[in-house]
Amino acid sequence: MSTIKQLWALARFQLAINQALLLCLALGSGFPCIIECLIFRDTKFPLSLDLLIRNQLIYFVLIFGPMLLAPNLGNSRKRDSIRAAGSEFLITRAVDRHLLFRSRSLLFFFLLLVIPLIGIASSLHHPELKVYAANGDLFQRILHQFPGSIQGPPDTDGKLKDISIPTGNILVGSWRIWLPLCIGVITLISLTLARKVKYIWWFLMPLGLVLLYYFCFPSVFSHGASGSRYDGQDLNTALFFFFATHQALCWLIALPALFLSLFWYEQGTEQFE
Amino acid sequence: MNDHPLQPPILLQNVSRSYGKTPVLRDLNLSVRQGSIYGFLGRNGSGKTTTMRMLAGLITPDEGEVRMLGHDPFLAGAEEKQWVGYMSEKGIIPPNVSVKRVLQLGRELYPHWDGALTDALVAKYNLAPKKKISTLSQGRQRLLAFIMAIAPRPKVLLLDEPAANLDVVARREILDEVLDLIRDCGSTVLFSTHILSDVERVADEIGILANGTIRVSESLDSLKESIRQVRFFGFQGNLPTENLPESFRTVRGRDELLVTLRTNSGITPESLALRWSCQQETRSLSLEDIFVELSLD
Repeated sequence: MSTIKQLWALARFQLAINQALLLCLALGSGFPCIIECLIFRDTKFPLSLDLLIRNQLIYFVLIFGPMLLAPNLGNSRKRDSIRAAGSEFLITRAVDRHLLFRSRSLLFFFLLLVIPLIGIASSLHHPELKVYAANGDLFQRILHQFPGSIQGPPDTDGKLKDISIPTGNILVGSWRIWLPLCIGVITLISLTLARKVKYIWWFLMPLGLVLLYYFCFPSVFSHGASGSRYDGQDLNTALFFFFATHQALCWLIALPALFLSLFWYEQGTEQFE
Repeated sequence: MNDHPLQPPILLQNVSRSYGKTPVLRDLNLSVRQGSIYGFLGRNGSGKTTTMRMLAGLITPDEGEVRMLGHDPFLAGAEEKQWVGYMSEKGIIPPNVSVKRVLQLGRELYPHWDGALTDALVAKYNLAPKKKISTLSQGRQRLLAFIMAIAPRPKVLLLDEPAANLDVVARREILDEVLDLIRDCGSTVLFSTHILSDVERVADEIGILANGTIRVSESLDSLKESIRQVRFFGFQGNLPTENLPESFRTVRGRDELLVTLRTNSGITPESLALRWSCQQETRSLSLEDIFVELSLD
Protein backbone atom coordinates (compact mmCIF):
# COMPACT_ATOMS: atom_id res chain seq x y z
CA MET A 1 0.00 0.00 0.00
CA SER A 2 1.37 3.39 -0.95
CA THR A 3 2.66 5.87 1.59
CA ILE A 4 0.04 8.46 0.67
CA LYS A 5 -2.83 5.98 1.06
CA GLN A 6 -1.52 4.85 4.45
CA LEU A 7 -1.07 8.43 5.63
CA TRP A 8 -4.54 9.34 4.45
CA ALA A 9 -6.14 6.33 6.16
CA LEU A 10 -4.19 6.89 9.39
CA ALA A 11 -4.88 10.61 9.56
CA ARG A 12 -8.60 10.13 8.99
CA PHE A 13 -8.81 7.40 11.57
CA GLN A 14 -6.96 9.48 14.15
CA LEU A 15 -9.20 12.40 13.40
CA ALA A 16 -12.14 10.09 14.12
CA ILE A 17 -10.75 8.82 17.42
CA ASN A 18 -9.66 12.21 18.75
CA GLN A 19 -12.40 14.49 17.47
CA ALA A 20 -12.93 16.54 20.62
CA LEU A 21 -9.27 16.87 21.42
CA LEU A 22 -8.30 17.89 17.92
CA LEU A 23 -11.17 20.33 17.62
CA CYS A 24 -9.93 22.02 20.79
CA LEU A 25 -6.43 22.16 19.34
CA ALA A 26 -7.61 23.70 16.08
CA LEU A 27 -10.06 26.14 17.62
CA GLY A 28 -7.76 27.10 20.47
CA SER A 29 -4.86 27.94 18.25
CA GLY A 30 -7.02 29.65 15.64
CA PHE A 31 -9.41 31.43 17.93
CA PRO A 32 -8.07 35.00 17.46
CA CYS A 33 -8.29 34.56 13.69
CA ILE A 34 -11.92 33.54 13.94
CA ILE A 35 -12.77 36.43 16.24
CA GLU A 36 -10.97 38.94 14.08
CA CYS A 37 -12.40 37.65 10.79
CA LEU A 38 -15.95 37.35 12.07
CA ILE A 39 -16.25 40.32 14.37
CA PHE A 40 -13.55 42.94 14.22
CA ARG A 41 -12.62 43.17 10.56
CA ASP A 42 -14.13 46.33 9.00
CA THR A 43 -15.20 47.54 12.40
CA LYS A 44 -15.30 51.23 13.10
CA PHE A 45 -13.49 50.59 16.33
CA PRO A 46 -10.00 49.34 15.54
CA LEU A 47 -8.47 46.70 17.72
CA SER A 48 -5.44 47.39 19.82
CA LEU A 49 -2.38 46.10 18.00
CA ASP A 50 -1.32 44.49 21.23
CA LEU A 51 -4.47 42.37 21.39
CA LEU A 52 -4.40 41.66 17.70
CA ILE A 53 -0.96 40.07 17.63
CA ARG A 54 -1.40 38.13 20.81
CA ASN A 55 -2.70 34.59 20.85
CA GLN A 56 -3.86 33.84 24.35
CA LEU A 57 -4.93 30.32 23.53
CA ILE A 58 -1.71 29.25 21.86
CA TYR A 59 -0.72 27.28 24.93
CA PHE A 60 -3.50 24.85 24.04
CA VAL A 61 -0.78 23.47 21.80
CA LEU A 62 1.20 22.43 24.84
CA ILE A 63 -1.78 20.59 26.27
CA PHE A 64 -3.34 18.97 23.24
CA GLY A 65 -0.18 18.56 21.18
CA PRO A 66 1.38 15.98 23.52
CA MET A 67 -1.93 14.14 23.80
CA LEU A 68 -1.92 13.63 20.07
CA LEU A 69 1.80 13.27 19.44
CA ALA A 70 2.93 11.28 22.46
CA PRO A 71 -0.06 9.82 24.29
CA ASN A 72 2.05 7.44 26.35
CA LEU A 73 4.28 10.07 27.93
CA GLY A 74 2.16 10.29 31.06
CA ASN A 75 2.95 7.02 32.81
CA SER A 76 0.15 7.08 35.32
CA ARG A 77 -2.57 6.44 32.76
CA LYS A 78 -0.40 4.72 30.22
CA ARG A 79 -2.69 1.89 29.19
CA ASP A 80 -5.81 4.07 28.93
CA SER A 81 -4.13 6.87 27.06
CA ILE A 82 -2.50 4.50 24.60
CA ARG A 83 -5.81 2.84 23.96
CA ALA A 84 -7.58 6.16 23.55
CA ALA A 85 -4.99 7.30 21.04
CA GLY A 86 -5.10 3.96 19.24
CA SER A 87 -1.31 3.54 19.24
CA GLU A 88 -1.20 -0.17 19.90
CA PHE A 89 -4.14 -0.87 17.65
CA LEU A 90 -2.66 1.06 14.73
CA ILE A 91 0.90 -0.22 15.10
CA THR A 92 -0.36 -3.79 14.89
CA ARG A 93 -2.24 -3.11 11.64
CA ALA A 94 -0.67 -3.24 8.18
CA VAL A 95 1.04 0.12 8.38
CA ASP A 96 4.63 1.30 8.27
CA ARG A 97 5.44 2.16 11.85
CA HIS A 98 7.04 5.52 11.03
CA LEU A 99 3.98 6.57 9.02
CA LEU A 100 1.83 6.44 12.14
CA PHE A 101 4.05 9.07 13.72
CA ARG A 102 4.30 11.05 10.50
CA SER A 103 0.54 11.10 10.20
CA ARG A 104 0.29 12.41 13.77
CA SER A 105 2.76 15.23 13.24
CA LEU A 106 1.18 16.22 9.91
CA LEU A 107 -2.26 16.18 11.49
CA PHE A 108 -0.93 18.25 14.36
CA PHE A 109 0.43 20.96 12.08
CA PHE A 110 -2.60 20.83 9.82
CA LEU A 111 -4.92 21.48 12.75
CA LEU A 112 -2.60 24.11 14.15
CA LEU A 113 -2.45 26.02 10.91
CA VAL A 114 -5.75 25.41 9.15
CA ILE A 115 -7.61 28.35 10.68
CA PRO A 116 -4.66 30.77 10.40
CA LEU A 117 -4.31 29.73 6.73
CA ILE A 118 -7.99 30.45 6.14
CA GLY A 119 -7.45 33.72 7.98
CA ILE A 120 -4.61 34.84 5.72
CA ALA A 121 -6.55 33.79 2.63
CA SER A 122 -9.40 35.95 3.87
CA SER A 123 -7.04 38.85 4.60
CA LEU A 124 -6.08 38.97 0.92
CA HIS A 125 -9.55 40.39 0.30
CA HIS A 126 -9.18 42.90 3.13
CA PRO A 127 -5.48 43.68 3.32
CA GLU A 128 -5.89 47.01 5.04
CA LEU A 129 -5.66 46.99 8.81
CA LYS A 130 -6.80 49.71 11.16
CA VAL A 131 -5.24 49.47 14.59
CA TYR A 132 -5.28 51.30 17.81
CA ALA A 133 -2.11 52.18 19.70
CA ALA A 134 -2.71 54.02 22.92
CA ASN A 135 0.94 54.27 23.78
CA GLY A 136 2.68 57.13 22.00
CA ASP A 137 5.97 55.27 21.52
CA LEU A 138 4.15 52.33 20.01
CA PHE A 139 2.17 54.67 17.76
CA GLN A 140 5.39 56.17 16.42
CA ARG A 141 6.97 52.77 16.08
CA ILE A 142 4.11 51.47 13.93
CA LEU A 143 4.19 54.51 11.72
CA HIS A 144 7.95 54.22 11.37
CA GLN A 145 8.30 50.48 10.80
CA PHE A 146 5.31 49.65 8.62
CA PRO A 147 5.65 51.20 5.20
CA GLY A 148 2.57 53.04 3.96
CA SER A 149 1.07 53.45 7.44
CA ILE A 150 -1.25 56.38 7.71
CA GLN A 151 -2.38 57.98 10.91
CA GLY A 152 -6.11 58.27 11.38
CA PRO A 153 -8.08 61.29 12.53
CA PRO A 154 -7.59 62.37 16.16
CA ASP A 155 -10.09 61.11 18.72
CA THR A 156 -12.35 63.27 20.85
CA ASP A 157 -9.44 64.07 23.22
CA GLY A 158 -7.47 65.30 20.25
CA LYS A 159 -4.98 62.44 20.58
CA LEU A 160 -3.74 60.46 17.62
CA LYS A 161 -4.30 56.76 18.29
CA ASP A 162 -5.61 55.10 15.10
CA ILE A 163 -3.34 53.96 12.31
CA SER A 164 -4.16 52.40 8.98
CA ILE A 165 -1.64 49.90 7.57
CA PRO A 166 -2.25 49.06 3.87
CA THR A 167 -1.14 45.38 4.08
CA GLY A 168 -1.49 45.03 7.82
CA ASN A 169 -4.00 42.17 7.75
CA ILE A 170 -1.65 40.10 5.63
CA LEU A 171 1.19 40.85 8.01
CA VAL A 172 -0.88 39.89 11.05
CA GLY A 173 -2.11 36.80 9.18
CA SER A 174 1.48 35.73 8.48
CA TRP A 175 2.36 36.32 12.12
CA ARG A 176 -0.52 34.11 13.15
CA ILE A 177 0.84 31.32 11.02
CA TRP A 178 4.45 31.83 12.01
CA LEU A 179 3.90 31.90 15.75
CA PRO A 180 1.96 28.61 16.11
CA LEU A 181 4.34 27.04 13.61
CA CYS A 182 7.29 27.91 15.85
CA ILE A 183 5.51 26.74 18.98
CA GLY A 184 4.54 23.54 17.17
CA VAL A 185 8.16 22.97 16.20
CA ILE A 186 9.28 23.54 19.79
CA THR A 187 6.59 21.13 21.01
CA LEU A 188 7.70 18.48 18.55
CA ILE A 189 11.35 18.86 19.52
CA SER A 190 10.51 18.84 23.23
CA LEU A 191 8.46 15.65 22.86
CA THR A 192 11.21 13.89 20.96
CA LEU A 193 13.69 15.01 23.57
CA ALA A 194 11.37 13.78 26.29
CA ARG A 195 11.37 10.33 24.69
CA LYS A 196 15.14 10.25 24.73
CA VAL A 197 15.84 11.82 28.13
CA LYS A 198 13.91 10.23 30.95
CA TYR A 199 11.77 12.54 33.08
CA ILE A 200 12.79 15.69 31.14
CA TRP A 201 9.18 16.13 30.06
CA TRP A 202 8.17 16.93 33.61
CA PHE A 203 10.63 19.80 33.46
CA LEU A 204 9.84 20.94 29.92
CA MET A 205 6.06 20.94 30.23
CA PRO A 206 5.75 23.35 33.21
CA LEU A 207 8.54 25.48 31.82
CA GLY A 208 6.70 25.77 28.51
CA LEU A 209 3.44 26.67 30.23
CA VAL A 210 5.13 29.32 32.38
CA LEU A 211 6.89 30.81 29.37
CA LEU A 212 3.74 30.88 27.30
CA TYR A 213 1.81 32.37 30.16
CA TYR A 214 4.37 35.13 30.38
CA PHE A 215 4.36 35.40 26.60
CA CYS A 216 0.59 35.65 26.21
CA PHE A 217 -0.96 37.28 29.22
CA PRO A 218 0.93 39.92 31.19
CA SER A 219 0.41 42.88 28.94
CA VAL A 220 -3.23 41.94 28.38
CA PHE A 221 -3.79 42.16 32.11
CA SER A 222 -1.71 45.31 32.46
CA HIS A 223 -3.48 46.83 29.46
CA GLY A 224 -6.34 47.91 31.70
CA ALA A 225 -9.36 49.86 30.59
CA SER A 226 -7.50 52.78 29.14
CA GLY A 227 -4.54 50.93 27.78
CA SER A 228 -2.34 53.75 28.84
CA ARG A 229 0.00 51.58 30.87
CA TYR A 230 0.89 49.41 27.90
CA ASP A 231 4.33 50.37 26.65
CA GLY A 232 4.77 47.89 23.81
CA GLN A 233 8.04 46.62 25.29
CA ASP A 234 6.97 43.06 26.13
CA LEU A 235 8.41 39.94 24.55
CA ASN A 236 5.44 39.27 22.31
CA THR A 237 5.33 42.75 20.79
CA ALA A 238 9.09 42.85 20.40
CA LEU A 239 8.96 39.53 18.56
CA PHE A 240 6.13 40.75 16.37
CA PHE A 241 8.08 43.84 15.33
CA PHE A 242 11.11 41.69 14.67
CA PHE A 243 8.94 39.41 12.53
CA ALA A 244 7.41 42.37 10.72
CA THR A 245 10.77 43.81 9.78
CA HIS A 246 12.58 40.50 9.09
CA GLN A 247 9.86 38.33 7.59
CA ALA A 248 12.08 36.58 5.06
CA LEU A 249 14.63 35.67 7.73
CA CYS A 250 11.91 34.41 10.08
CA TRP A 251 10.45 32.12 7.44
CA LEU A 252 13.93 31.02 6.42
CA ILE A 253 14.49 29.83 9.98
CA ALA A 254 11.01 28.44 10.63
CA LEU A 255 10.50 26.30 7.54
CA PRO A 256 13.74 24.28 7.71
CA ALA A 257 13.15 23.95 11.47
CA LEU A 258 9.70 22.58 10.71
CA PHE A 259 11.02 19.93 8.34
CA LEU A 260 13.89 19.00 10.64
CA SER A 261 11.58 18.68 13.64
CA LEU A 262 9.16 16.51 11.64
CA PHE A 263 12.03 14.29 10.57
CA TRP A 264 13.53 14.15 14.06
CA TYR A 265 10.21 13.36 15.68
CA GLU A 266 9.54 10.55 13.22
CA GLN A 267 13.01 9.07 13.55
CA GLY A 268 13.19 9.57 17.30
CA THR A 269 9.78 8.14 18.03
CA GLU A 270 9.36 5.14 15.79
CA GLN A 271 11.98 3.07 17.58
CA PHE A 272 10.29 3.52 20.94
CA GLU A 273 7.98 0.85 22.27
CA MET B 1 5.01 -13.27 2.73
CA ASN B 2 7.72 -15.46 4.18
CA ASP B 3 10.95 -14.40 2.51
CA HIS B 4 12.64 -17.42 4.05
CA PRO B 5 10.39 -20.35 3.12
CA LEU B 6 12.57 -22.87 4.94
CA GLN B 7 12.21 -20.95 8.17
CA PRO B 8 9.12 -21.60 10.30
CA PRO B 9 6.65 -18.72 10.15
CA ILE B 10 7.07 -18.04 13.87
CA LEU B 11 10.51 -18.31 15.36
CA LEU B 12 12.04 -17.08 18.59
CA GLN B 13 15.63 -17.93 19.34
CA ASN B 14 17.26 -17.40 22.73
CA VAL B 15 14.94 -14.53 23.49
CA SER B 16 15.22 -12.74 26.82
CA ARG B 17 13.24 -9.77 27.96
CA SER B 18 12.95 -7.88 31.21
CA TYR B 19 10.71 -5.09 32.44
CA GLY B 20 12.99 -2.96 34.54
CA LYS B 21 14.82 -5.39 36.77
CA THR B 22 12.16 -8.08 36.48
CA PRO B 23 13.03 -10.77 33.94
CA VAL B 24 9.98 -12.04 32.07
CA LEU B 25 11.45 -14.20 29.31
CA ARG B 26 14.64 -16.16 29.78
CA ASP B 27 16.41 -17.65 26.80
CA LEU B 28 13.10 -18.56 25.19
CA ASN B 29 13.10 -20.75 22.10
CA LEU B 30 9.89 -21.27 20.18
CA SER B 31 9.23 -22.49 16.70
CA VAL B 32 5.79 -22.92 15.17
CA ARG B 33 5.56 -24.82 11.94
CA GLN B 34 3.54 -23.75 8.93
CA GLY B 35 -0.16 -24.57 9.11
CA SER B 36 -0.31 -25.60 12.73
CA ILE B 37 -2.49 -24.34 15.55
CA TYR B 38 -0.20 -23.81 18.47
CA GLY B 39 -1.73 -23.59 21.92
CA PHE B 40 0.42 -21.40 24.09
CA LEU B 41 -0.12 -22.12 27.76
CA GLY B 42 1.26 -20.65 30.91
CA ARG B 43 0.25 -19.24 34.25
CA ASN B 44 -0.50 -15.55 34.73
CA GLY B 45 2.72 -13.61 34.46
CA SER B 46 4.58 -16.44 32.76
CA GLY B 47 5.43 -14.28 29.73
CA LYS B 48 2.77 -15.30 27.20
CA THR B 49 1.56 -11.79 26.50
CA THR B 50 5.13 -10.45 26.34
CA THR B 51 5.89 -13.10 23.72
CA MET B 52 2.75 -12.21 21.79
CA ARG B 53 3.51 -8.49 21.91
CA MET B 54 7.00 -9.20 20.66
CA LEU B 55 5.63 -11.19 17.75
CA ALA B 56 3.14 -8.41 17.01
CA GLY B 57 6.01 -5.93 16.73
CA LEU B 58 5.08 -3.92 19.80
CA ILE B 59 8.20 -4.61 21.83
CA THR B 60 11.70 -5.86 21.15
CA PRO B 61 13.72 -8.55 22.92
CA ASP B 62 16.64 -7.53 25.11
CA GLU B 63 18.54 -10.47 23.67
CA GLY B 64 17.88 -13.04 20.99
CA GLU B 65 16.08 -13.03 17.70
CA VAL B 66 12.41 -12.86 16.78
CA ARG B 67 11.24 -13.76 13.30
CA MET B 68 7.75 -13.58 11.90
CA LEU B 69 7.42 -14.85 8.32
CA GLY B 70 11.16 -14.33 8.07
CA HIS B 71 11.10 -10.70 9.24
CA ASP B 72 11.84 -8.87 12.44
CA PRO B 73 8.27 -7.94 13.47
CA PHE B 74 9.35 -4.70 15.16
CA LEU B 75 10.91 -3.46 11.94
CA ALA B 76 8.30 -4.97 9.61
CA GLY B 77 6.49 -2.59 7.29
CA ALA B 78 2.98 -2.58 5.88
CA GLU B 79 3.88 -5.16 3.22
CA GLU B 80 4.95 -7.72 5.80
CA LYS B 81 2.30 -6.89 8.38
CA GLN B 82 -0.58 -7.37 5.97
CA TRP B 83 -0.02 -11.13 6.41
CA VAL B 84 -0.24 -11.04 10.17
CA GLY B 85 -3.46 -10.88 12.18
CA TYR B 86 -3.21 -9.88 15.82
CA MET B 87 -5.78 -9.91 18.56
CA SER B 88 -4.54 -8.44 21.79
CA GLU B 89 -5.23 -9.78 25.27
CA LYS B 90 -6.82 -6.46 26.23
CA GLY B 91 -9.15 -4.20 24.32
CA ILE B 92 -6.98 -1.92 22.24
CA ILE B 93 -9.54 -0.64 19.77
CA PRO B 94 -10.01 3.08 20.43
CA PRO B 95 -13.26 3.61 22.33
CA ASN B 96 -14.45 6.72 20.50
CA VAL B 97 -14.91 5.25 17.05
CA SER B 98 -17.76 3.27 15.57
CA VAL B 99 -17.67 -0.37 14.53
CA LYS B 100 -18.11 0.73 10.92
CA ARG B 101 -15.12 3.10 11.10
CA VAL B 102 -12.88 0.38 12.52
CA LEU B 103 -13.86 -2.06 9.79
CA GLN B 104 -13.40 0.64 7.16
CA LEU B 105 -9.81 1.08 8.33
CA GLY B 106 -9.29 -2.63 7.83
CA ARG B 107 -10.67 -2.42 4.30
CA GLU B 108 -8.38 0.51 3.52
CA LEU B 109 -5.19 -1.03 4.89
CA TYR B 110 -5.41 -4.66 3.82
CA PRO B 111 -5.41 -5.58 0.13
CA HIS B 112 -6.69 -9.08 0.92
CA TRP B 113 -9.43 -7.94 3.26
CA ASP B 114 -12.32 -10.40 3.08
CA GLY B 115 -15.40 -8.17 2.92
CA ALA B 116 -17.85 -11.05 2.65
CA LEU B 117 -16.41 -12.74 5.74
CA THR B 118 -16.51 -9.43 7.60
CA ASP B 119 -20.15 -8.82 6.75
CA ALA B 120 -21.06 -12.38 7.69
CA LEU B 121 -19.28 -12.19 11.05
CA VAL B 122 -20.65 -8.74 11.87
CA ALA B 123 -24.15 -10.10 11.29
CA LYS B 124 -23.42 -13.33 13.15
CA TYR B 125 -22.02 -11.54 16.21
CA ASN B 126 -24.77 -8.95 16.05
CA LEU B 127 -22.42 -5.97 15.96
CA ALA B 128 -24.31 -2.77 15.17
CA PRO B 129 -22.12 -0.84 12.70
CA LYS B 130 -23.04 2.58 14.05
CA LYS B 131 -22.35 1.75 17.68
CA LYS B 132 -19.28 3.21 19.30
CA ILE B 133 -16.73 0.79 20.67
CA SER B 134 -17.14 2.21 24.16
CA THR B 135 -20.81 1.22 24.14
CA LEU B 136 -20.12 -2.40 23.24
CA SER B 137 -19.78 -5.07 25.90
CA GLN B 138 -16.30 -6.48 26.53
CA GLY B 139 -17.33 -9.65 24.74
CA ARG B 140 -18.51 -7.79 21.63
CA GLN B 141 -15.30 -5.76 21.61
CA ARG B 142 -13.35 -9.03 21.63
CA LEU B 143 -15.41 -10.31 18.72
CA LEU B 144 -14.73 -7.15 16.73
CA ALA B 145 -11.03 -7.48 17.52
CA PHE B 146 -11.24 -11.06 16.27
CA ILE B 147 -12.82 -9.93 12.99
CA MET B 148 -10.05 -7.35 12.58
CA ALA B 149 -7.49 -10.11 13.06
CA ILE B 150 -9.04 -12.72 10.79
CA ALA B 151 -10.59 -10.70 7.94
CA PRO B 152 -7.23 -9.81 6.32
CA ARG B 153 -6.84 -13.57 5.67
CA PRO B 154 -3.48 -13.60 7.44
CA LYS B 155 -0.75 -16.15 7.01
CA VAL B 156 -0.05 -15.92 10.71
CA LEU B 157 -2.74 -15.34 13.28
CA LEU B 158 -1.75 -14.29 16.81
CA LEU B 159 -4.56 -14.61 19.32
CA ASP B 160 -3.76 -13.54 22.85
CA GLU B 161 -6.43 -14.89 25.18
CA PRO B 162 -9.08 -14.81 22.45
CA ALA B 163 -11.69 -16.40 24.69
CA ALA B 164 -11.48 -13.88 27.51
CA ASN B 165 -14.91 -12.36 28.28
CA LEU B 166 -16.66 -14.60 25.77
CA ASP B 167 -19.48 -17.03 26.39
CA VAL B 168 -19.13 -20.67 25.43
CA VAL B 169 -21.03 -20.27 22.16
CA ALA B 170 -18.93 -17.32 21.01
CA ARG B 171 -15.75 -19.14 22.01
CA ARG B 172 -16.72 -22.14 19.94
CA GLU B 173 -17.63 -19.94 16.99
CA ILE B 174 -14.24 -18.26 17.17
CA LEU B 175 -12.47 -21.59 17.24
CA ASP B 176 -14.52 -22.76 14.26
CA GLU B 177 -13.49 -19.65 12.32
CA VAL B 178 -9.87 -20.34 13.19
CA LEU B 179 -10.22 -23.88 11.88
CA ASP B 180 -11.83 -22.54 8.69
CA LEU B 181 -8.95 -20.15 8.22
CA ILE B 182 -6.46 -22.99 8.52
CA ARG B 183 -8.46 -25.04 6.02
CA ASP B 184 -8.88 -22.21 3.52
CA CYS B 185 -5.56 -20.41 3.75
CA GLY B 186 -3.16 -22.82 5.43
CA SER B 187 -2.50 -20.18 8.06
CA THR B 188 -0.40 -20.68 11.14
CA VAL B 189 -2.10 -19.86 14.43
CA LEU B 190 -0.51 -19.12 17.77
CA PHE B 191 -3.02 -18.67 20.51
CA SER B 192 -2.58 -18.26 24.22
CA THR B 193 -5.30 -19.25 26.61
CA HIS B 194 -6.13 -20.51 30.06
CA ILE B 195 -9.02 -22.58 28.77
CA LEU B 196 -7.51 -26.00 28.29
CA SER B 197 -10.60 -27.48 26.68
CA ASP B 198 -10.15 -25.01 23.80
CA VAL B 199 -6.59 -26.16 23.37
CA GLU B 200 -7.59 -29.79 23.39
CA ARG B 201 -10.26 -29.04 20.84
CA VAL B 202 -8.22 -27.28 18.19
CA ALA B 203 -4.49 -27.22 18.91
CA ASP B 204 -2.24 -29.68 17.21
CA GLU B 205 0.83 -28.47 19.06
CA ILE B 206 1.23 -27.20 22.57
CA GLY B 207 3.83 -25.15 24.36
CA ILE B 208 3.88 -24.61 28.08
CA LEU B 209 5.66 -21.54 29.30
CA ALA B 210 6.85 -21.35 32.87
CA ASN B 211 9.18 -18.80 34.39
CA GLY B 212 9.94 -17.30 31.02
CA THR B 213 11.07 -20.49 29.31
CA ILE B 214 9.31 -23.16 27.30
CA ARG B 215 9.05 -26.30 29.40
CA VAL B 216 7.59 -28.44 26.61
CA SER B 217 6.66 -27.87 23.00
CA GLU B 218 5.13 -30.77 21.14
CA SER B 219 1.90 -32.29 19.91
CA LEU B 220 -0.90 -32.88 22.37
CA ASP B 221 -0.90 -36.63 21.76
CA SER B 222 2.83 -36.90 22.23
CA LEU B 223 2.61 -34.82 25.39
CA LYS B 224 -0.09 -37.00 26.91
CA GLU B 225 1.76 -40.09 25.81
CA SER B 226 5.15 -39.21 27.16
CA ILE B 227 4.57 -37.34 30.40
CA ARG B 228 3.60 -39.51 33.33
CA GLN B 229 3.37 -39.18 37.03
CA VAL B 230 5.11 -42.01 38.88
CA ARG B 231 4.77 -42.84 42.53
CA PHE B 232 7.82 -44.61 43.93
CA PHE B 233 7.22 -46.33 47.23
CA GLY B 234 8.42 -49.23 49.40
CA PHE B 235 11.99 -47.95 49.68
CA GLN B 236 14.42 -50.15 51.64
CA GLY B 237 16.34 -47.24 53.14
CA ASN B 238 16.30 -43.47 52.78
CA LEU B 239 14.60 -41.74 49.84
CA PRO B 240 17.00 -41.15 46.95
CA THR B 241 18.24 -37.57 46.64
CA GLU B 242 19.53 -37.57 43.08
CA ASN B 243 18.14 -35.04 40.60
CA LEU B 244 16.66 -36.57 37.49
CA PRO B 245 17.15 -34.42 34.40
CA GLU B 246 14.10 -36.03 32.81
CA SER B 247 11.80 -35.09 35.66
CA PHE B 248 9.71 -31.93 35.72
CA ARG B 249 8.70 -32.01 39.34
CA THR B 250 9.41 -34.18 42.35
CA VAL B 251 7.34 -34.19 45.51
CA ARG B 252 9.00 -35.90 48.45
CA GLY B 253 6.71 -37.59 50.96
CA ARG B 254 7.65 -39.37 54.16
CA ASP B 255 8.31 -42.70 52.47
CA GLU B 256 7.47 -42.09 48.85
CA LEU B 257 8.42 -39.96 45.88
CA LEU B 258 5.97 -38.50 43.38
CA VAL B 259 7.83 -37.75 40.18
CA THR B 260 6.46 -36.20 37.00
CA LEU B 261 8.76 -37.28 34.23
CA ARG B 262 9.11 -37.77 30.55
CA THR B 263 9.02 -41.48 29.98
CA ASN B 264 10.21 -41.57 26.39
CA SER B 265 13.57 -40.01 27.16
CA GLY B 266 15.53 -43.19 27.80
CA ILE B 267 14.75 -43.53 31.45
CA THR B 268 11.68 -45.52 32.41
CA PRO B 269 9.75 -45.86 35.69
CA GLU B 270 10.69 -49.51 35.76
CA SER B 271 14.43 -48.86 35.46
CA LEU B 272 14.25 -46.22 38.18
CA ALA B 273 12.37 -48.54 40.51
CA LEU B 274 15.04 -51.15 39.91
CA ARG B 275 17.81 -48.63 40.59
CA TRP B 276 16.22 -47.41 43.81
CA SER B 277 15.08 -50.84 44.94
CA CYS B 278 11.48 -49.81 45.32
CA GLN B 279 8.11 -50.26 43.72
CA GLN B 280 6.46 -47.89 41.28
CA GLU B 281 3.01 -47.00 40.13
CA THR B 282 2.52 -45.00 36.94
CA ARG B 283 -0.49 -42.93 36.02
CA SER B 284 -1.24 -40.96 32.90
CA LEU B 285 -2.10 -37.29 33.17
CA SER B 286 -4.76 -35.09 31.64
CA LEU B 287 -3.68 -31.90 29.92
CA GLU B 288 -4.72 -29.96 32.99
CA ASP B 289 -2.58 -32.21 35.20
CA ILE B 290 0.36 -31.83 32.85
CA PHE B 291 -0.08 -28.07 32.79
CA VAL B 292 -0.18 -27.87 36.58
CA GLU B 293 2.81 -30.15 37.01
CA LEU B 294 4.91 -28.28 34.48
CA SER B 295 3.91 -24.85 35.63
CA LEU B 296 4.77 -25.39 39.26
CA ASP B 297 8.34 -24.89 40.37
